[in-house]
Amino acid sequence: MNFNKYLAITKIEMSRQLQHRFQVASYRVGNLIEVIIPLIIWTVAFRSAGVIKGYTYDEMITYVVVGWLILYLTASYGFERVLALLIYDGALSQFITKPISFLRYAFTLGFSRSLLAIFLSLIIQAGVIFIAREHIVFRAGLLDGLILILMVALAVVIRLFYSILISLAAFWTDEISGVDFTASSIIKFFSGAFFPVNILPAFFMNLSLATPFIYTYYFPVQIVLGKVSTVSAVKGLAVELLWIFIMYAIIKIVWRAGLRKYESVGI
Amino acid sequence: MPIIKVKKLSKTYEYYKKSPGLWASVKGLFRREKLFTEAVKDINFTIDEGELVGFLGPNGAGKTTTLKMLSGILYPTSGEASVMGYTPWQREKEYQKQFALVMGQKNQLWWDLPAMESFILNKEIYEVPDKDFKYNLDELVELLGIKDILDIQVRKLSLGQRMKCELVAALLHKPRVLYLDEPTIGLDVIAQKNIRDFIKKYNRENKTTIMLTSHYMEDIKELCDRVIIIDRGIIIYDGGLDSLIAKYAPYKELNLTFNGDGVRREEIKKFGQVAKYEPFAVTLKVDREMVKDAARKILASGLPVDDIMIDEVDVDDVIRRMFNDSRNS
Repeated sequence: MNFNKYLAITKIEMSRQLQHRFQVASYRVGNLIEVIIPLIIWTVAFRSAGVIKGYTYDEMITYVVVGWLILYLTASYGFERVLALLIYDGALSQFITKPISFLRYAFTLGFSRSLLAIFLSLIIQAGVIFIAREHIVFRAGLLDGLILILMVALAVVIRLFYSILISLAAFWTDEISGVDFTASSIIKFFSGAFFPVNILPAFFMNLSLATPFIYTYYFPVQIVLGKVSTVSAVKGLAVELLWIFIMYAIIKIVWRAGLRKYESVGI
Repeated sequence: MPIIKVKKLSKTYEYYKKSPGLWASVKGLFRREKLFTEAVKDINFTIDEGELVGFLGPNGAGKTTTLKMLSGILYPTSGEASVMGYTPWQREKEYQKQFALVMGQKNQLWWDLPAMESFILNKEIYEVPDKDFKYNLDELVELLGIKDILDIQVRKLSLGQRMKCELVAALLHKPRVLYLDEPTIGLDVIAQKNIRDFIKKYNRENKTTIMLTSHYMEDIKELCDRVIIIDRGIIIYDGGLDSLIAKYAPYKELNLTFNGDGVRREEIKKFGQVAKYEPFAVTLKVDREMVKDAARKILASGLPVDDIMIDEVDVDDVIRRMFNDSRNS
C-alpha cells in the first residue's frame, strides 16, 4: 500500500474544507444549540430531584457536555450522502479505472473530511466545558484514560464504516436520504445522545449495549464518570473491535455485490 | 502488433419496464417486466500502437459502452478484449497505470479547487515520480497554453479551459492508450479546434494510441485516418475515411456560379444531376471520373459561368446515407 496516495487525498480534502470554512463553521453553531437544549432540560429536571436514575446533577452535566464532545469527534458529518452521490451519478467510474482502491479512498476521504469540523468542535466544546467546569466530573484514571482514547478512536472507524455501508445502498436505490435520516435517528437513540440509555427498560438498555453505536457516546462517558470497571471497559473495547471486523466484512460483501451490479448496468 | 484486440465482444443491459402513470408505478412495486437491450453485438476490431481511431455512431449506438468495457468499468456479457496484453475488466493496477479515460460529460477535477490540486492527487494515485511529473506537466501546460489558469478554481473556468485541464489530468502519467469519449462536446468552434490540434500533436509526438468518439464530423475528419462506424451495436464500417467516401459517395460536387442572365434548369441538367438549383448558383453531382470532363464541357458550352469549383461531398452526408442503408437492409 502506497501511503502517499492516501496522504494526498487528505491534503486535497483539507484544502477543500478550508475553501468552505464558513460553511463548516456555521454548522458548529447548530451543534452548540444541540448541547444547550439538554443542559436546560436536565437543569430544570434536577430542581425537584437530587439524583435521577443514579446520576447526580454534575454527572448529568458531564454526560451531556463530554458526551457531545465525543459524538462530534466520532461524527461523519453526512459523509454517506457524499459517497452515495459519487456512486449514483457514475463518478465511481473514474475510481474503478484508476490504480486506487475505492473503499480505501472513501475511508481516507471520510476521515479527512471530518478533520476541520472536529477541530472546530473541539474548540467550541472546550469553551462549553470551561464554562461548566465546576460541574464537570472526571473520574477516569490513567489506564482508563488510555482505554477511553482508544475507544473513541475505534468509534471513529465505526462511524466511517457505517457511513460507507449506508452509502453503498446507492447501488440499488436512487435516493438514500430517507434511509439515512431514519437510521441516523435510531443510531442517536441507541448511542445515548438523547439521554443515558440506562433510563430505559433493561431490554432496550441491553439492546443498545449490543450495537456498535453505544461507543460513540454512552460507553466512553461512563468511563469518564468512573461508572464502569477497567475490566468492563476492556471488554467494551473487544466488542468494539468485533463490530469493526463485522462491519468490514459486510462492507466487502455489499461492495462486491454493488460493483457487480454497476459493472452490468453502468448506472 | 495490435495493442487493442477485441473479439466477439457483446454487452446486453438488463432493465425494467416503467410504464407511465401512477397505477403502473403501483403495479411495478409487485411485478416488473424485465427487458434487455443489446448495446454491443459481437464486435471485432484491432488497433495498432500509435493509431488514432475515430469511433463514430449516433446516440445509443454502443460507442460509450465499448469504451467502458475497454477501460474496465463494465463487464461484457460475452466475448474477449485485450489491451496491451491485459483483460481490461480484471482491473490490474499495471493496466490502469498505462491508460486513461476522458469523458467529455464527466469531470474528474475537484470542482472547488484549482486544477493543480487535482494534478497533484493524480500524480500520487498513478505513482508518477517527481521528475517525470514536473516534465510532463510543463510539456502539457505549454502545449495547451494554460499556464495562467492553473491556480484558478475549476468551477470558475470556461468549459474549454476545463477540458484542457481534464486532458492534462489524464495524461500526466503518460498513458500508452487513451480513450476519449466526446472530448469536444459543448465547446465552441475555437475551443474545439484547440482541443483537436492538441490531440493531433500529442498523438504524433508521443505515439499514444487513441480511441476517440465524437458526434462532430470535424473531429473525425481532422484527426482520424481510420474510422470505426457503429450503429445499434454493430460495426458497419471499419477502414480509412478516404475509402469510405469513395465507396459511399461515388460522385463529387460541382459548384457553379453564373452571371449575366443566369441559367435555366434545362440548360444545365445535361451535365449532371442537379442537387441544388438557383438561376445564379447551381450544384451538380457528377461521377468522380467524369467530373473534370463535365467542368470542361460546361466552360465550353457558352453558359455565363462566373466561377466553378469541384468539391468533395460532405462526410456528414455520407455517414447519414450509411446509417440509412444499414437500417433499411
